Amino acid sequence: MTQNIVLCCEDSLEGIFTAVYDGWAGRYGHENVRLQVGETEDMDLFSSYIKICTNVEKAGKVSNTIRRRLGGRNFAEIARAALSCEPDKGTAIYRTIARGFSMERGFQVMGVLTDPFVCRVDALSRSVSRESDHLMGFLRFTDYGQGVLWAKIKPKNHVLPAIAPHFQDRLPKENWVIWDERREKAAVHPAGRGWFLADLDGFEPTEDTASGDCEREIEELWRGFCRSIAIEERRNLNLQRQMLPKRFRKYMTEFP
Amino acid sequence: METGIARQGLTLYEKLNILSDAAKYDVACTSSGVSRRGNGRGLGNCTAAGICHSFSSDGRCISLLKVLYTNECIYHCKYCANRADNDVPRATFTPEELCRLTMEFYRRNYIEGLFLSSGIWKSPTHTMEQIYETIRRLREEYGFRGYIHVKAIPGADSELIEKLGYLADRMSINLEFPTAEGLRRLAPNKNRSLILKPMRQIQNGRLASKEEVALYRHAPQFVPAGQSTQMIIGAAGETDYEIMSVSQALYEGFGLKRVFYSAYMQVNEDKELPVLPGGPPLLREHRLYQADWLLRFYGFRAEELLSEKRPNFDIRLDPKANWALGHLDKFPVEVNTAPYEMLLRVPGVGVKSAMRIVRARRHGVIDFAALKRFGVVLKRASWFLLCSGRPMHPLRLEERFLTGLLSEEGRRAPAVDAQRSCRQITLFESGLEQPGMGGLYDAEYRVVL
Repeated sequence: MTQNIVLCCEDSLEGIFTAVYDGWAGRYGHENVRLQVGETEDMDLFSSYIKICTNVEKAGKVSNTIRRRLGGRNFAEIARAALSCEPDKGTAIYRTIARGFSMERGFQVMGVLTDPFVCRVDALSRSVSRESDHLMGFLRFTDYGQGVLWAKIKPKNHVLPAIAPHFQDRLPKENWVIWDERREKAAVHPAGRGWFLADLDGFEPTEDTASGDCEREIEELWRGFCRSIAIEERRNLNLQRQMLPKRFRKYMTEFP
Repeated sequence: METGIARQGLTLYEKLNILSDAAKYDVACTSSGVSRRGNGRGLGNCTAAGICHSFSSDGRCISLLKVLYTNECIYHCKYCANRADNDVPRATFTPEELCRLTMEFYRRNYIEGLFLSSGIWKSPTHTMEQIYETIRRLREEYGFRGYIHVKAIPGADSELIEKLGYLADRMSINLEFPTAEGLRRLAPNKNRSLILKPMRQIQNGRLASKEEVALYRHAPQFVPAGQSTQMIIGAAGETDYEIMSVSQALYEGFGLKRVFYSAYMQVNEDKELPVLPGGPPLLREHRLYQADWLLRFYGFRAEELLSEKRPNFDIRLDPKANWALGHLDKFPVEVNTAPYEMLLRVPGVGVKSAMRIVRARRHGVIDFAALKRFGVVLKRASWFLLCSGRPMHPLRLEERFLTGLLSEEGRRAPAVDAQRSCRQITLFESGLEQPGMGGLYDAEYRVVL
């Protein structure tokens, strides 16, 4: 029986790519390698565990090679899959890269949907896209009057890197913060500059009362609009729930 | 203000209430079709796929701040709640109020932009001037770069429509009824040629602007997201065949991006208007949307789906399944070799499934397990497909048997899902075509191949 190699790496694109680099360099045979991303689960007796220290230089090399050999579009899809919350994403990414590098036309790798690992990366990437598309619409900013717009979200996947560029393009002259309650991380955007990711373990914007009244008024206007735009004869709460799942509503102005 | 029932001194909240309530029957709440990046200064951008920001209790998408400029209307359209002789509360926005609302809603990410329509206030041209002034202010003074959809008012000065076209992303003129006769009877102040004239003008403007942009990359774009229209279904006694033929003609002859269908809702009592005992014909509207998708993305023609002899859809079946049952000799289809166009005609296989099949089979032979894994829903498709010459289970290509299988009666109430019209495409959606939904994604999406 061949030895299973488990590479334990940090839950980030850099972490996963470092593991890909080390996995390659170790010559274990791609089919023997598994990636374990983030917290260590129960150990398996017949596998050997290797701890991977994230190394930006190695990750950069992997990322450049992927861009060159597989193309920007496939790179984007792999990077998006890396934001997934699913534990098997590391292995799927590793094997997809291996598959792509073994092909003469690497840029077609995401078309090989008959390969279970490629198919998995494809599915993960689509699921991250779906959630970030949802949040680009469903996320709500509140103006607490300090010149900063605040939004709170609780996504399953780590969508901040996927949605922040959209809001930076859309609201370039605003200071805004999008806080991921589950991961206690925030995307922070100072007006006129680039956004960045920060650890933020609490969501406590302060509010001054004068602007608070103005904010209430706008929220009230919005809630009124959402009520009056509905056609009573077509009432269909099932369809509404299908299109706008309940887990998002807790953070939305129009669902008090 | 003209009419006696108009009240002065409404609060903004009351105005918004009245004028969004009055706009709710307009269907086209989509924000797709144009991609425009932010410019680092103003507020806003547009994404080609469009974004849904919320869903109201009727399950329809809220993407735009959809309001009338005013519901003071001099017209007497029989079916309309705002017709001049109805006793309803009236209100009128000011350009300033609309700009402020749009900006404040937009920066909180409530909306994708503004949808501005209006009752006919004093005259079509006067109404159009108010709309123009609002949009001009929003674009030029407020630096708003989000999505704007405006109604062109039939009969308004064509120069105004021209100027507005350079500020708006989408313009639309409602056809109201598929037949000129229906229009004459139910909307006495409108006529067909008055509606088609600005439609043609916008089409020509778009063509000219496209040429300009090809020559000079930064030339201003005229109605970049295209034009759309809307028809009321079930009020004037027209057949599905008439409706689909009109839609086809609009897509081909007028270059329309979308035709929307709106199940007739009885808001007025009038001897000319039908009384529909079953309530608004939501299921029929749903079937029309499915057929509309078949015209635009599946390579079907109206004449293939319906005919003079059989002018209406079988309400129990989706139009594609209906077509397949009439053409069982074309099935089963071999997944590994069939042309893309034929894959598209398999019930249960949508545009994205067909594209994935085509993409995947370049690299190897596809079997049913692989189809399942990469997200092709086989519930209905498996009755029409072969993989390497083998079916997933014994096939029975018999009309009677398959009708029972594909019919949506009893399995679920499709009327419940009838309102998919406002659905916008989410690019990476899995589970492409679910039964009874026919893949009703919004039109102008980026192709993922």
